[in-house]
Amino acid sequence: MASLRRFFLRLANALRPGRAEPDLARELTSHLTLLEDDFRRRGMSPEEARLAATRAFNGVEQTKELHRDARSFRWLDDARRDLRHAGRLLRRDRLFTATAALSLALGISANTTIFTVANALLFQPPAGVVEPDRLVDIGTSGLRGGFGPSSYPNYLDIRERTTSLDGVYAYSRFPQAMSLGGVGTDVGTESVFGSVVTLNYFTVLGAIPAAGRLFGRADSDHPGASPVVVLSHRFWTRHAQRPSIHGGRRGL
Amino acid sequence: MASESTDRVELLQGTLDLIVLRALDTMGPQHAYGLAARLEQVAEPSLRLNQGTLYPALVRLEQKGWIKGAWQRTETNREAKYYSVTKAGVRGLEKQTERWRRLAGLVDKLLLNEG
Repeated sequence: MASLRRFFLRLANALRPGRAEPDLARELTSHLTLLEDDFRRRGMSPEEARLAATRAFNGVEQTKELHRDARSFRWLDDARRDLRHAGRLLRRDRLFTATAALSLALGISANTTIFTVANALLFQPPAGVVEPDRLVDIGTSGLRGGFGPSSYPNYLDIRERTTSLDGVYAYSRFPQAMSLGGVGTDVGTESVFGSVVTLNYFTVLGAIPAAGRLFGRADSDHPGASPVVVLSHRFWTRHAQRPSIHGGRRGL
Repeated sequence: MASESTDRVELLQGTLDLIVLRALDTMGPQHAYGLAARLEQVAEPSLRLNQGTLYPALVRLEQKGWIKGAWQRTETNREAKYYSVTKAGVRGLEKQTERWRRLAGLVDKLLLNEG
């Protein structure tokens, strides 16, 4: 209880540091006067007594410092003072303030942007995947470590022999530039980027199409047997004014 | 006569508060100078006491609500701030004395055993 009371009083003194000063100064003056009186009673001249009192007391300023340390939280008071000083300097030097604020703004916004992108790419589960926490990457590591792509025959072997995975799909590492156009129509061609993936790609991921169908078991992965394309949602919304885009035939 | 510096005792942290509280309790209301004079009279030359160090102790005790200061006139008609022990201070003194006895007893016991 007593400690709590003291804590709050120290806090109050830290916030209003000057309040106790006049009383302390008065008390110290009175102390010195009483000391002086004593020395005079022992037969010193007034001048000698005053000097002796000051000497005996051992530093009025030092005592004030000790008193301040005990009655308040000095670091809090100092921090408040520093902040006020900083504020004054910033107000005085407008150019410096503007430069500092601008650098901070740029730095913070760049970091925010990078984090937003990284968050979406690396830390959020990809959209449309049924159980993202059960998804693993399989790759080849060389003698020096690292994580690289593997060959299609390797993929086939892994898919055949895996016992711990529900399914294994493969995709080409880099999207390939293709040109997409109508077959014998007046629709102009357009350049698009596509990825080549294995037939079970969507089955393993558990993705559901927004419109039309995905390729799966009904299709064949023999060369030329099932030339099926699945459009990305973004591509589809970009061409939403042409609902006939799915289910049709296109030259690729 | 032994050399001054080795014979004098530095006060342990926190013990000055207890000493001041006890002195005020036995002497009745007293100003800082009177306290210092009294402590010097009782403890000198074994206690090294800078009169200024009484002030932090006084403010600590006052903030705890154990003593209260009030301005009054001395017998020589000088103004001085007189400190007196409050009811909470009396209880605090009892508790702190008890704690000090336990601590001192423990240290004593350990020192004797080690010796």
